[in-house]
Amino acid sequence: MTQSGRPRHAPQLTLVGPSTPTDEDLVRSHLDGDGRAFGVLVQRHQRLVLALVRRYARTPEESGDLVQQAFLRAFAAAGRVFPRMRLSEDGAFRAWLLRVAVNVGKNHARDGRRWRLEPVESMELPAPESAPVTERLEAEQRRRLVRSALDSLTRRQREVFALREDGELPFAEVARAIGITENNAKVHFHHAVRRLRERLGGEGEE
Amino acid sequence: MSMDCEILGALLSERRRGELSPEESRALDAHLAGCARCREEARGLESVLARVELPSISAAELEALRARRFNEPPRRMRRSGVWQVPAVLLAAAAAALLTVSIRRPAHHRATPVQPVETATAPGSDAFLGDSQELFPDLTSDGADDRQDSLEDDVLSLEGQGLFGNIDG
Repeated sequence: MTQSGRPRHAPQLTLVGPSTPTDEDLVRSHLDGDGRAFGVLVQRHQRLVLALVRRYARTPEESGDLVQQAFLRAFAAAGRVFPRMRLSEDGAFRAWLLRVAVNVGKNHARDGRRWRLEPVESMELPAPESAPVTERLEAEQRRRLVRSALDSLTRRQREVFALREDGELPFAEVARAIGITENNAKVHFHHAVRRLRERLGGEGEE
Repeated sequence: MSMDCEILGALLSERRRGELSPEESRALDAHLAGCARCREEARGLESVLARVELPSISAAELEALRARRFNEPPRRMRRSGVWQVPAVLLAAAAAALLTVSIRRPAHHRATPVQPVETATAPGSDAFLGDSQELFPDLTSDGADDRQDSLEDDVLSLEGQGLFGNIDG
């Protein structure tokens, strides 16, 4: 028996087709020693993880690094976390992975504040090479302003905002990932957007 | 103030993404028609939602992601070249300070004469200790923070919610 309480020699999963395994099935397979299971989880969720971390990256390559970092952290923690995960709950793995991704983005932003004090002119810019320099600088300035405004949010507001706006998740799933009610998630989101408006200004100012 | 007032930003976000049913959308319009405060606020919130929206993930970005090997660490995150200069200057300044402190006659010291090992060469534990105290982030490289976060990942499973322990 494994830590998950399942036989070590579980049947190999069929990874495609009508019996496509759930994330939780794959987690169990990973615990049971199926070397492919984690790779399937990566394939399945890499787009969502990218969506959650890329706001904190300056280049597409850096975004990819953050995605890789998130999955490596998840893989490194899998041995400790998976056996204690509530695998009976749908979405338990995904909710945990979202949390890891948000943490990686947050830590990278914190490291960025620490290391990146250079003027905008010296930065690598993620805008397409074909865009004029001034346009790219303005785009990067806007991104910086938004990141700075996001820093002013409370922890909960930032989590909800990231999952909703960057992860494009419906509020029901945002709520499930965080462990709050859907209505509560909407209230946090509303206050997050109001706070951003105060910081960013713009049309419709009261 | 109705509940709609408290979730106006969320309702506008849902409408932007086409997640509201026609009935829900009509209910929102009816609320805006009857609530001057929300009507006034809605424009600003919609503007912010548009401004913070990221461009769609491109096919090229996804392709690059698929080409990665997820069983090995990413290349080291690039650090700003700007910090490399201050780091060198910092090391030079620290060395100069140490030199001065070594060469100063003992009677100029306000505190009792320190043993020779106080003037430690850069790279020793004492030097590292000083620099860590003054510039903790330069030497830690965030490793401790990341470890803390990793612990959070584990701890969160034991807490109230799966997301409960993210620190701000």
